[in-house]
Amino acid sequence: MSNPLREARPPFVLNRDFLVTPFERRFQGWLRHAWRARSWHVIAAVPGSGKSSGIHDLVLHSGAYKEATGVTRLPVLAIRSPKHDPREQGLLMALSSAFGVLPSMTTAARRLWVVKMMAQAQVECLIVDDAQDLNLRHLAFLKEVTDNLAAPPYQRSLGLCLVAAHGKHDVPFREVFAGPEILWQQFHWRLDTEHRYIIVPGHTEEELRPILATFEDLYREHLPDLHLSRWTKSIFTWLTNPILDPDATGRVTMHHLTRLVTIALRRAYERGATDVDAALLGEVADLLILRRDEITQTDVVLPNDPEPEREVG
Amino acid sequence: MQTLPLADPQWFTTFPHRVSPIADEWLPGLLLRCDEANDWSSGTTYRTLREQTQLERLGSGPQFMVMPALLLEPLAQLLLLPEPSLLATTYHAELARLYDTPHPYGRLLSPQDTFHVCPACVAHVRLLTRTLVWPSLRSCPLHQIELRNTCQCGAKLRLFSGKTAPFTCVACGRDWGNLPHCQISRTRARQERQLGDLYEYFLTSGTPRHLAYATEILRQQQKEKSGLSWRQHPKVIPYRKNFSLGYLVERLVAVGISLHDIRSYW
Repeated sequence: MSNPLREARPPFVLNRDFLVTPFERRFQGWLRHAWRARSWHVIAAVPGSGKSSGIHDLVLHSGAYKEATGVTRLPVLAIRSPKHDPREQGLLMALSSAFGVLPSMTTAARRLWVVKMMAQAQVECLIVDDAQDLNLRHLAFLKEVTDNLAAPPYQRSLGLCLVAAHGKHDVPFREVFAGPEILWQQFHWRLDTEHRYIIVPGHTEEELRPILATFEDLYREHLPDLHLSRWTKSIFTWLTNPILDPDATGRVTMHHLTRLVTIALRRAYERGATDVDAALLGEVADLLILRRDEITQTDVVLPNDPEPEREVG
Repeated sequence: MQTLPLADPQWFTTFPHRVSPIADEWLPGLLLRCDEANDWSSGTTYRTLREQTQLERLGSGPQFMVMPALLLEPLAQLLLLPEPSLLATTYHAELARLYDTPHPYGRLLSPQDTFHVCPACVAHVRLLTRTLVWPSLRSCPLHQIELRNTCQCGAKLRLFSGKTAPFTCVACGRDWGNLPHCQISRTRARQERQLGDLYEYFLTSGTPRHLAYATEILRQQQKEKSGLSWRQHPKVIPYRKNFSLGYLVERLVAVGISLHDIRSYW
């Protein structure tokens, strides 16, 4: 039987706003520290924490601009590790593409150009996302670029954040930089003395409550009676299940939280409800935990391309 | 001009450093300033545009008296500038009005392909003005010094050298701004002023009717001066549909007809 309320409703729309969650405050805090102090860090968090979103948000608000007078400022240069190009050219391309459209250049010319351009655009902090994919050549090239910038005529010191996904309570590069080779020793010396390797944890149960309250505000238009925060404890328990938290961090990632909440809200909305209940949340939690690898076999053609689910935060 | 923040997706479709035209700047000068701002060798911006638009048929050195149509849109996008501001770096609109055509071409201004620079303009603001393409002009209307088409080392100046820095000699690397600033004689200055006045007038407010009148005055004047019939006069201006503005202005000045003389006719 069709639900009249359901038929009258417009389609459910996912909110894509960036949320400044407690994780993001911690994570961006370290990025800003590196930027301000020109210090070098390896910053790690479990996959799905919201590292890339946090970097993106920081870069957008870093004050970068291009004037038509020839002046360009790019205080924070963020790139993603070129995992498909193990050569240093991969990193070189990633660095140079951050500035915009470039003419074809030889690798040698591009190497010089990138350093000059980073100095001209007054780059103060370099962030490499997915840094766990960097290989030794990439790291050696990063050192070369930063060394060239630090030397005359530029004499610019740079903050460096190697942002990596980690697991098993360890941080990438710790063993590499502890190696006896001169290059790694040099890299090790350049890292911040007090906080070389940083792990930024996900959300505690207490931190979950205000995030859920924010979701309530974001989706109030769809579900007027939404009261998510009363399910904080249950949601925290589900999302710290060993399947979703294999390293037993006891923290919740934004990826899992967003998945759980948005799927539950969409289902509630499509059923004509104005709030979610424990049964529906449990159903979605089952989907994430117990039925995560289930195969969907279907002949159904979806009417429209559904909005892809994307993590918030 | 618009400031481009990084949040704007156009950040990634524009050059690292954007430049915008200075008043009365000539298009190649803008392209060279773009090269300089981006620390590229001379002609890189132009080469990039040609590669993007696959405009190989433009050759290595079009005269740039009008805007090559296919360059306009990509250049506007790469510099994030309004198209009219780029059109204003050529005589596109002026020649279109003067010859009443939507598709003007460079030879309407001059069939010659000369390139020279004012060392003072380059030294002060890296400026190549549009007046550099006025045929027969040998001095800068602003600084009253000789335009240079060769370096002191003897090498011919080339607009887009490809390998050297912008605004420098392809052979010795001397900055065009450091070429000698030679004053011109008073007689030459007077003649240049006459040329300049006529170009200025035709290009800023001329119409096809003005061109036709000027041509008629010239014919009449030459006929009277020679005392010969149209048929007998060997140098009489032929009846053709279009003369280049450069040809007309040069002839007017050569026979001593000033802007004042022809203005009284309309």
